[in-house]
Amino acid sequence: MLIVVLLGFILAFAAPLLHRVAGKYTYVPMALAALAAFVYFCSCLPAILEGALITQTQAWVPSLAINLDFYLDGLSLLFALLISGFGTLIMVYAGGYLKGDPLLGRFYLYLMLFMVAMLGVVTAGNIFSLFVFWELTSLSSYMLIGFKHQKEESRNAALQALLITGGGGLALMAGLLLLGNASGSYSFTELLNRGEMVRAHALYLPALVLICIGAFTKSAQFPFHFWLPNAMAAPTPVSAYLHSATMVKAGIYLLARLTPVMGGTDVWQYTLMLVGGSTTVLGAFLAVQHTDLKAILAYTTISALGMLVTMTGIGSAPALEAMVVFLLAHALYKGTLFMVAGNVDHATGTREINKLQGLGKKMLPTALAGALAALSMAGVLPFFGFIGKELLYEAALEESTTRTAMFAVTFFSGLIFVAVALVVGYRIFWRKTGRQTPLEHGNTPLLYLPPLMLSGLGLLLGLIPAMLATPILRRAAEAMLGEEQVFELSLWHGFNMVLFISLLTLLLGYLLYRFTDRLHALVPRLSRIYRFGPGTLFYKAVKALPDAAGVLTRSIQTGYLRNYITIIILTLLGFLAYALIPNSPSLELADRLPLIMNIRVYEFVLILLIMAALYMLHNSKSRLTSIAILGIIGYSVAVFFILFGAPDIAATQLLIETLTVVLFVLVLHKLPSFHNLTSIQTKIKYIMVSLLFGGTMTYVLLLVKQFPLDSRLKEYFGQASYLQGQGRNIVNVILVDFRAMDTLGEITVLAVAAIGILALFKLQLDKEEKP
Amino acid sequence: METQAPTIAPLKASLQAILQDLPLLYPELTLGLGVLLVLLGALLIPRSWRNEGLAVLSLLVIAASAYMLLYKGLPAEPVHLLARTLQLDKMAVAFRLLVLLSGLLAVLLSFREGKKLAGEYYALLLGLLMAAMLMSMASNLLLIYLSIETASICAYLLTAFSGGREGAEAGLKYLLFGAVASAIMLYGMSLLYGFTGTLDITAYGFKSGLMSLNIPILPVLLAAFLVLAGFLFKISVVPFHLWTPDAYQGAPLPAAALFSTAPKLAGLALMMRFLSHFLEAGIIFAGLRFDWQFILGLLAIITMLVGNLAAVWQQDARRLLAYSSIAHSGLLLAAVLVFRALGYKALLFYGFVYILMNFAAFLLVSMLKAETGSYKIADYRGLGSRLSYSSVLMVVVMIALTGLPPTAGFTAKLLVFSALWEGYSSGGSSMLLYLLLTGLATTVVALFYYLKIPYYLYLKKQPEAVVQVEGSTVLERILAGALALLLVLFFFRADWVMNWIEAFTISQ
Repeated sequence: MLIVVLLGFILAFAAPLLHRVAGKYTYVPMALAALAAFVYFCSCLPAILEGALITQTQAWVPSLAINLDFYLDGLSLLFALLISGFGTLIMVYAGGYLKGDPLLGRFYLYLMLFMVAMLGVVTAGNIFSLFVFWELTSLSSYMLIGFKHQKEESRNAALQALLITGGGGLALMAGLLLLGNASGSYSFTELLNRGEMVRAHALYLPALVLICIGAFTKSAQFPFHFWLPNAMAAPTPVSAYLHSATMVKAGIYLLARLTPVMGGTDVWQYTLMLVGGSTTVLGAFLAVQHTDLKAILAYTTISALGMLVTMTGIGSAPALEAMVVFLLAHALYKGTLFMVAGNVDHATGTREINKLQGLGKKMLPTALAGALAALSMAGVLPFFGFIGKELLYEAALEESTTRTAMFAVTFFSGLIFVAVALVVGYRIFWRKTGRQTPLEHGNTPLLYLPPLMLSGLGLLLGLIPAMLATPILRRAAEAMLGEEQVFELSLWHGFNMVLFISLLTLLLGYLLYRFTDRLHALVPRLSRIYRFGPGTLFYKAVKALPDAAGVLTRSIQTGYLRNYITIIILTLLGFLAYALIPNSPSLELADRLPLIMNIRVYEFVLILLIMAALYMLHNSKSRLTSIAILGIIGYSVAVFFILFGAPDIAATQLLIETLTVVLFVLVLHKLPSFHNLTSIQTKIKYIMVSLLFGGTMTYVLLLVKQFPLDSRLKEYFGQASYLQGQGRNIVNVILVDFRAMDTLGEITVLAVAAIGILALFKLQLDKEEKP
Repeated sequence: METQAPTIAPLKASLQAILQDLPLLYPELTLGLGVLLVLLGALLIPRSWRNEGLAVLSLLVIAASAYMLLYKGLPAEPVHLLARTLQLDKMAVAFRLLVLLSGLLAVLLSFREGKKLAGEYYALLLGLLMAAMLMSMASNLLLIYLSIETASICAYLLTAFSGGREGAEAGLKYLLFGAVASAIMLYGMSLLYGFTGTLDITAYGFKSGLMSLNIPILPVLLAAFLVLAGFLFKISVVPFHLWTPDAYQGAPLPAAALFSTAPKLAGLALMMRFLSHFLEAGIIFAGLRFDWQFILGLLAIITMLVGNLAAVWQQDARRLLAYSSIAHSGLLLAAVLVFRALGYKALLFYGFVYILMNFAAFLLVSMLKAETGSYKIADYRGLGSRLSYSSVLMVVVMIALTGLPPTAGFTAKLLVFSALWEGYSSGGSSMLLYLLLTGLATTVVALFYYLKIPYYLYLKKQPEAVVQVEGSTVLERILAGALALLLVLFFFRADWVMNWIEAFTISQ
């Protein structure tokens, strides 16, 4: 399987090159490759039908126990055959559909990539491989939906699909990791045998929720269904392959794969039944309201996917059997119908059912394929779809607790399917009213052969199910149920309740079809409801995200340095508050009070001076005054230093203050004229911040002073500077004597800094010279 | 410093010890020498090939430094160097290698930008590298400050180096902001020194000083916060990130790419070192345990949110990358907070991959700038078919930055997430879980803005008038291709990187 995957990747990336060489015949090697994969998986059939299990392991990151494992059982093989077989036909079909497109090579790249990724999903043997391939399918689907990138609609649809399925993929990864944690293994071989353990684990529920989100987004379940109809912007081969037969079934595969591990609980059953059931009804309900051929098919696909989820949720043996049969039947007829729709679109240039009529004679092979598929979809007797429908009814009727609801759901979707089948298979081809739709050109064999083959297969499987379908379907159902099954498919069950219901469905469905046009007339009245649908909500959310981001960025990244510094200070205060609240180290204010009260008169005068200066600073009307006032504050601080016995620091402070004032005055004439830009609110804001910060620092300092610091330095330097350095000014002695090397270093640093500043200045000057 | 009293006698001995330590510092010394050589070269080499000559010279210096590091600078045991100001252990070696790698890539990126700049540009690059390497092994508050400051000064100069208005404004803001951060950090350091009487964070006195019951917890926490603020500034964690977008936009592109890697990783190393010593003290401290994971985790969460959300709004590729680098900082910080070997491994892996993808992204932005004449993402419209090579690579790199398979970006993210989960599920703080959840949620947001670039490249229509400015050079194309290839390769062969990391796992 590793080889299949690797070769697929290589071929995918060789596709653009091949296109240059082979031109319009590129489909030949691509289809052959898909066929080769199909044949390979067929060669696995005998072993799997025996009940064996094929696994392969390729070391990847052994140190983290992440390996590329493959795991092939009945369920995987059913999907793998479907993907590779259908893939072969689609490769051929795409060759006809996109003939002459200059980007055909790229199209094949994405398509092949998708096929390989999808094969990877269904054959992955552990959680990590599964996730990797899963995301690859999302990415390649994104590329394929956006293939007609000139259209705005395609681009938006592509992005929407990617965001939803990609986001769902992340939820899935989280869910799978939780699952791995709960079971203690990331490999399916072990995981699948640990169902008991997982279901009893505390992580079961979160894992289930996350995995369901992943599966529901991928399989377009309500409320994530809206991306699928939009994804119909993709070329028809993509719609037929990805969005009806394979990719959207990845979610179903996942749920089916995990049934033995997670299934069987009430949460699982009701979640799946509820979501699946509502999706079934909603999809069917929306399908009859549309007039675009592909939209109709998309909504019925959603409905069918909902049905598959519902059946998985019921989880009984008949339900799971019905699930696999319906899955196969649906893939065959829906894929065909999409291709038929594509052919009609290709030939006439429109997909509006009201504009299409009487095409049957001119497009006979396509019409034939459409008719066969439609009969299967409607569930008419010798077709495989009939068996599927019968089983669905049986499973719904056997469900104990929610029988009525399940039956209603199945019946409703059955009705709609009949109506839709009539529209797609009969109405556009054979209805004889008005004039025939003109054809722009006919269909080539490349276009009509693949749908014919698929729909023919639907008939064949219906006629002799025991030989062709039963063995593999049986193994697939067993993989989900975890035990041997007696599984018989037959066309004729005798005259019983189910047959009667089937006939009733056909009859009522026909009636519904007769009223299609009247139903369409009602649609505009309903459109008001859709304004509140999840699709609109998603659209709004996507629009809101950049707006919110913009508001956020503008409020934080204002470009004002003062705001930045305020933010830093407030953060620090927040930290301190957080540290203070639980620990609350008490400041013994009573002890410290004498210390604070012990103020000399001139200190008080200085404080008053600073306060007055600050007040004036805020009200000054010219730059020069402001600088002078700032100078006053600086000098006052310097005096404080003198008062507290640090004359050298005071000297430094005085020097710096003087220098600042001088520099300011020097550049004053270069500055623009003075405007008082700050409002009162801003001032109050900054005063508050300053008060807070100052208060906190005072508090901390008082607190620190409360405890003696363990330092013998003062004592040591006090003695040593006099005895060894022969100096009375301790700071001076330390600077030039004990720490002479450090001082030298400092001077060097200053010199380097000066050079740097000089360089900056020089650059600035250079710039001014050349305007 | 606690052996302050008898200074004179052992001075000779300690000087001799310092001399003996020098061989282990040859990598840094080589870079220092390189700075001088480049300055000389800038004067001597003729103008016509000065840029190329200096770039090659810098490459040689970095290669020599890496050689020294790999073949001469590996001590068998963790050792303290230069009178216990540096701690050289496996972690230091690993981070120094990462710094050198990013330096190498930065010089390789500079062949185009360097032409417009004076020769000192390379000297500053090398200086920044040297400082970052010292940062990743500094274990003395003084040296921590010095190395951070050296790195910062080089960065300020580099930001303003292109001489444009943008650069000058950004450089000045960066300088002022950095000065505040440095001042705050220095204040914290002085407090720590006051409490413990030593600057050596590995010394016993440091721990015992902090643990002594005499000091209340609040000032110690204050001191630690203040010091951490300096580190967080270098790592550009919110709210100390505000300089980042302006600086990235103003600085020459290779320098911006370097800012987002070398000093950031070195800052993380520094933080790990500081916290590891501080935590030991903090745990027993006054019978109380302060929850560092909580407070720093909170910052990491805010960082991821702000970085990712702000990136959504950006129109300029450089600012987008700046916010992306902030977002990545959050995740890297989260990896540090796991405080376990697994988190450390994840950090190294992430750091390595991050260097590759970030430089690739910057290189491609620079190539697209050369090819379209614009940094605006909107101007990338429809380039996919015309500039298919750069565009395809861009897609790969953006996927890697988002953290999706099949790129090593995914593996890196996965490793960090699983480290967080491991930390949480084996009895760690619930903060780790919140970090994990935020990481996952913001990855969805990341999907939104990273894939905007491929979206414009491929899915938007090309405007009518196309301005062809100049093409990208062969060297750039090869380099970009190689980086993208490595990103994919290390996804499939992540074990190669893991093996390398295993060799640098701290033995605790």
